[in-house]
Amino acid sequence: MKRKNMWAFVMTVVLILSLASCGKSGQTEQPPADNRESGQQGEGREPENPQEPSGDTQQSLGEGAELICWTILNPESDADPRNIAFKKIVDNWNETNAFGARMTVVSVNWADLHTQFTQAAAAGNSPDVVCAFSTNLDQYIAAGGLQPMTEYAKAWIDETEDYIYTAEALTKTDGEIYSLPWETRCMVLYYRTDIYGEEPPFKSLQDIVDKAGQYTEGGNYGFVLGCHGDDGFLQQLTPVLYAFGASVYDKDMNLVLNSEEGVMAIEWLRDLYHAGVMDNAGVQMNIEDTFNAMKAGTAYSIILGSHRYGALTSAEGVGEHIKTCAIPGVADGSVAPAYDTSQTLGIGAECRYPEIAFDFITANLTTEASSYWYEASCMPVRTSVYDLEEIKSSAMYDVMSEWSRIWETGLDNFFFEPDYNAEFSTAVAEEVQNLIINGGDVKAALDELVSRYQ
Amino acid sequence: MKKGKTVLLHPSKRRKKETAVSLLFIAPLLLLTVAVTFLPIVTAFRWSLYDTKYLTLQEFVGLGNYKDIFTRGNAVGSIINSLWYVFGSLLLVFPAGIILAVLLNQKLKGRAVFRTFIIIPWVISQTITAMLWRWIYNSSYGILTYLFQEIFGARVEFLTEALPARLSLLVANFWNSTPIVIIMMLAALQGISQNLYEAAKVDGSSAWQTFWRITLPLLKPTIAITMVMQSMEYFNMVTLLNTMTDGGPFKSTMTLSVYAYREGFIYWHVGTSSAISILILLLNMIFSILYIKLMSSRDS
Repeated sequence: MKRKNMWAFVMTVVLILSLASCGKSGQTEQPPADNRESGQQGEGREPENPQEPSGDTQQSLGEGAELICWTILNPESDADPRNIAFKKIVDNWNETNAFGARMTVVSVNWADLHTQFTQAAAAGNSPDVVCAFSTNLDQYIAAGGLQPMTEYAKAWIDETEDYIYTAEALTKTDGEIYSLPWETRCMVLYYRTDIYGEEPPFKSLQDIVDKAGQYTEGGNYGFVLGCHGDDGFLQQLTPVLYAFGASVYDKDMNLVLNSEEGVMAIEWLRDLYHAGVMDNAGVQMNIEDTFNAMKAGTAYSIILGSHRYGALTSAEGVGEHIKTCAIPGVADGSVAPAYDTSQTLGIGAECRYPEIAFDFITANLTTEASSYWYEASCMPVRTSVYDLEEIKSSAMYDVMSEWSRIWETGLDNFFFEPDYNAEFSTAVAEEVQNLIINGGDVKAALDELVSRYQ
Repeated sequence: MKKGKTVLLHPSKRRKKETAVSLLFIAPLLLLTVAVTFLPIVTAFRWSLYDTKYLTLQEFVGLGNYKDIFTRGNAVGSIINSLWYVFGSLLLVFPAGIILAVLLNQKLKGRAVFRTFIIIPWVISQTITAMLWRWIYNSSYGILTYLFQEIFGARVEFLTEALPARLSLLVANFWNSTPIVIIMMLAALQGISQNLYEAAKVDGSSAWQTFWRITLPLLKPTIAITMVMQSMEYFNMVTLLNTMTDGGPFKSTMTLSVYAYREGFIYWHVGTSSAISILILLLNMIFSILYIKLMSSRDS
């Protein structure tokens, strides 16, 4: 009996301790329970200046340092050509980096990355390097998960003449740079050549209203721009706003969607509905639905990111008929300025070796790395890639060069969305759906909406 | 105490010792329950009283978050949607689940195959189920849309109009969750003594009378507990609803749990999300008590 009691006691103590340690790891005050050493910042501590060298020479050199990178890519899988490109870059860096450091890649599903990163940031446990989509970057910063890399980035951009982004474009309103894009994309018009012919199908946005309706019937759409979903709606709408001279935010990140031009853009969407180009179901699609409709052959033209080209052109039965062009503008023959977004790499707030992390980030941005990304159908961030002979002779060269030209028209407008962008986009989508289907005063509705978020 | 020697304790001392040992044995489970159930509830309640920024507490706002979800938010609409979804699902799932369980309890040829096939929808993840049904209902290339158009000559917007969207979700949930009800009922049916059925047969009871007077009353405890379980499951369901409709069209399928999920994990208003979660907890508790009372009063 006594022995049993003793065992019961021991087991209880073990369980209590294990539960207690589980509880601790989730608290924000605790240091991360991974392979990093003590002295990391927790809640309430000022972030260390990444530009300041640490006291310990060994540590600042980071010899043998183990770093962690969270990304949507999985170097262990060859299902996505981007995985293969990333594996080459990681393996090469692990073998050759001057610090003798090692980067371990943790692949996180795209849908889970934002949640997991925010939770990790709150726990003071963010990874050393993280892949952040430009529209989500502000969320990551607001959650306290990223540290600035301004000095490293500025110096690197200054000495890298063919990098397509300027330091100014990447600087946030607080004057800091938090990440560097490793690929880029812009919104383009996808269209079916067997329906509209080889040449770009629409001369202007009004031309879409006039022409596309004839193909909309029985669940097929001549053109569709879904007004549903989270930040996907504003991604599709923004080039249309640009065409009208409007935008969602101004340079200081104030909401200006309710401008006269913004109202005109929403009214254009309503015109599409009244002209029979889109019906209720079309209006209530989200960005993914429009992609699926194009892939399934039931949408004949859509606005979507250039990075989906590979998936669409490989669609059975319709892929060979899909082409891209610039989104038309308001005047006949004009084009809308591009809306550019990108996947970026940032340095985690708790990273003790920002210099090494930055070195890894730039390893993704070399001309050689950019050529790998190019082979994976990602628009490269180094223009010198287009001068490589093997690239010039590649099948994607003409398409990619055209996107590059379209992309350039949006560089002046490049911005990082504020952290409430997804919520605002959902609210705009709901309001626009309502305005299109049930009617109402567009200006009044947008004013009310903007005042709620301003 | 020497080995082999028995020491007789005073009964009260012995009782105390036994109580202490019992407590020691249940301590791990108790701690686990506190850690994974009680503490999160207390934490959620605490967070619901604060303004939050991502996962950090800001200023204390008292019942401000509760007030906000009812005045500026969508709490009332979401409660109605939740009730519609929960009771609609129960009304579809339970009668069908009981009937199918009774049928599968008969000595049929290929019964094992039927039982295996019928469980498949339940073992498929809700994300896959939602994507599958979303495809079936798709207004431009969905198979059901196509069939409706071919048979009735009219196109039904399954997921883009309020009532069809609500009904479509019920059908998808019916497909997904009826198997677990069937399994529970089958297990209960197999516990009913065959003697009762034989006696009923001798007394000349019809199949309907046997079902109504023997099978159903004996299934009641299982029905009650399964109903409580499934109600909670439906109240808390996020994946199926969020993947299929995102709460739309026009928030007509935005249940409380979807509302809480979107506020908490998409917009990071964790204080608001916690307030909604506490509301879900209260509703779950109220309905669980009601079911159990209802079932026990009928029994008595």
